[in-house]
Amino acid sequence: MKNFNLALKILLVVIAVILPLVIKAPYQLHIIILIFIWAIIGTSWNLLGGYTGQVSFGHAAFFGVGAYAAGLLQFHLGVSPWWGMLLGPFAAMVISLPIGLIAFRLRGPYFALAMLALGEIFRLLFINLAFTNGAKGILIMPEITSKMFYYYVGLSALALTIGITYLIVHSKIGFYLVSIREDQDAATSLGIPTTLYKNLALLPSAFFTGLAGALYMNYVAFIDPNIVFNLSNISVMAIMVVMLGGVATTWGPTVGAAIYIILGEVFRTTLGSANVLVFGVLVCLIILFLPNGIVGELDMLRGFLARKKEGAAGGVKI
Amino acid sequence: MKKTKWFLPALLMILSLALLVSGCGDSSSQSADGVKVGIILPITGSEAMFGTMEKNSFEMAYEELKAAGKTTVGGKEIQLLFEDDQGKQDVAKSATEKLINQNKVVMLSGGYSSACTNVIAGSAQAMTTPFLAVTGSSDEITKKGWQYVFRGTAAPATKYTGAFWEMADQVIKPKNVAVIYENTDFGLSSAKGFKEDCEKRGVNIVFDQAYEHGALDFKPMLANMRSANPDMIFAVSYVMDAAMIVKQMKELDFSTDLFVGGGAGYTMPEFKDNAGDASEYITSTTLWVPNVAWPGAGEYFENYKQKYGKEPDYHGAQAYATMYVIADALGRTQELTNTGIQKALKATDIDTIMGPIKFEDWEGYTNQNKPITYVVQWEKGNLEVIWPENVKSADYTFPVPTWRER
Repeated sequence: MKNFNLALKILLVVIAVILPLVIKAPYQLHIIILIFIWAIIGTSWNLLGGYTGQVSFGHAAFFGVGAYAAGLLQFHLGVSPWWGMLLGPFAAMVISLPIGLIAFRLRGPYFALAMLALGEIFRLLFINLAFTNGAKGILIMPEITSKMFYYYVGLSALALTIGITYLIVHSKIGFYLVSIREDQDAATSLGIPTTLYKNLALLPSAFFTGLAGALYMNYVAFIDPNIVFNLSNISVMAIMVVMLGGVATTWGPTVGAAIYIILGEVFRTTLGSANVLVFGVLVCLIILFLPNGIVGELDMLRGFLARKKEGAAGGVKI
Repeated sequence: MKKTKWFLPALLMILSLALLVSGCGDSSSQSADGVKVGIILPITGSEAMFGTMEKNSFEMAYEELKAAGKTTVGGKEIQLLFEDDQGKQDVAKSATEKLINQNKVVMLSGGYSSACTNVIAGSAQAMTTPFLAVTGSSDEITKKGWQYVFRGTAAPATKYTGAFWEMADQVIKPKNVAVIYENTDFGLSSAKGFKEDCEKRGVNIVFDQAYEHGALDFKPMLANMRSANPDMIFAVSYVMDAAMIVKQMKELDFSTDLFVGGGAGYTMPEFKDNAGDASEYITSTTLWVPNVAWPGAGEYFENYKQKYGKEPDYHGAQAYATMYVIADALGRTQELTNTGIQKALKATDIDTIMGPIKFEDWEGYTNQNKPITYVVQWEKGNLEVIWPENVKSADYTFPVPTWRER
């Protein structure tokens, strides 16, 4: 079983690497690039919201700051926005620090509310500041137009995000994070500094969301505050991607992003003006019937089957 | 557990079915023979009202052109492929990618919001596919020197007030002006242009505030504005905000010599419906009105009303005129390639229901038609052209009576 899993993973990586050599159509690659961006955001959100149980309604703040870090470099200094891929994640991390230090000391919905406010504050701030070019946003002409290039950049960024998240979750820190989610009092009584570890989940989460933002700026080549700090299209969508794919699973956000983007696009191009309605109904159905997300339900299904087999063999294992 | 058992396979089936459908759709559209023009508009989402009006107008113009035999280019029929951008810029990007790479369109049109139009323009230029913008009015779009991006029927946001200033210099002569605008690209660009024009003329700006698009309570802002005592108000708002603002001004009994809207909301039929009698004497700049003197304008308005049961506004006229520009350019093009169509568009010189359209390079703009603007005023529930004087449909009322005098 373990060998099989490993082989599957290697196969997946190989497919991902050679895919653009097979699919040369720019439109399909474009869809996959969007999936990568959303998978990065979802995976980052999942580390904080899924594993640590700290629900954020304001990941758009990190996304937007990352995007603007890249955009403003070009706008003010004429520096290539690709440097934003370095600056953006750190900028997002810097703004996440104070909010985590303050809100994580409190219990209950305070962090979720603080994040909700943070996203909106940044949106209003960036609309009204002259430094950010206000609501006019930043429009650039990308230097590189080859889809294959963006594909590999997106793939590497996603691999990095999933890899580091995986390492964190499967290290001692990961167990601390899950224990905070399951029972904060018990975690405290065992000597886990909960505020510190919540912050340790927030920082990488903000970092990779900022990375996705910078990539978005480079790829889409236009941002304005109403787009990148958007509550429903960024912050809530980050949650939707995770819910759809599977909360607290390694591959859930990626699967969720793929389904979200592909289905959304297929519906948009085939169903005419009913597309958003049908899409919304389907998402409701998924959440209703697959509350653990697609990957989550698959795991349960597998566990269910495995138990059945063992039962048939005679020994009942608890 | 039981209910999820059937749902997962069902979902997978839907997914694969959806993929299959999209696959078929692509192959059939590739085999179809015709001159394909991609049009990206918001058919769903918060801008759907305008997107649908523009789509209808495109189709209406297309049918007229077809009846006149002007939709065949070199033996091939022009085909319109509509895509929905949902008012979201990354969806607009997807639509652009699909139309250019998948459907192999020869040129693009559409673009409602500035953000979506920006993205379509950037992608079209990067893929050297001609793009003719319909409504997006951000200055940036034609200020980047992009050779494949054209804008005919829409004015850059800072140029919406041309006719108004002519009238202001001769008739209104404002001294203290209040400026309010929604904090969007369009609102800020328009207000910026207006304020620069004020400075040039030495007009005082006594109140200057951006507000959140879609707000419900404007009374605190209006009360502050009243204490600044302006003799004229310039406001840039979409339709619902516009109606709320004038209604609440009436409730506060706050009168000025003139209230001028900067395009968009203040000229729409929905504005009159929502604001009721508070809309009376509200003045606005606009790009088009049905009773303007250009040939075909009145007919378009009547035909549209008859066919779709709704009054179109200037957005519809933009789409209608754009369709004529597209057919004209494609008809003249020597070869159906991106460079051929780009050249044909550049050489455009056509009279439309929005006036003559030519793509020129001026004041840092590239391929931008020089816009003609109008000043209109609501008089007894009708939108009348009051400036320029040679095309006016009624006399202006200035200064307007206060709420109590009416």
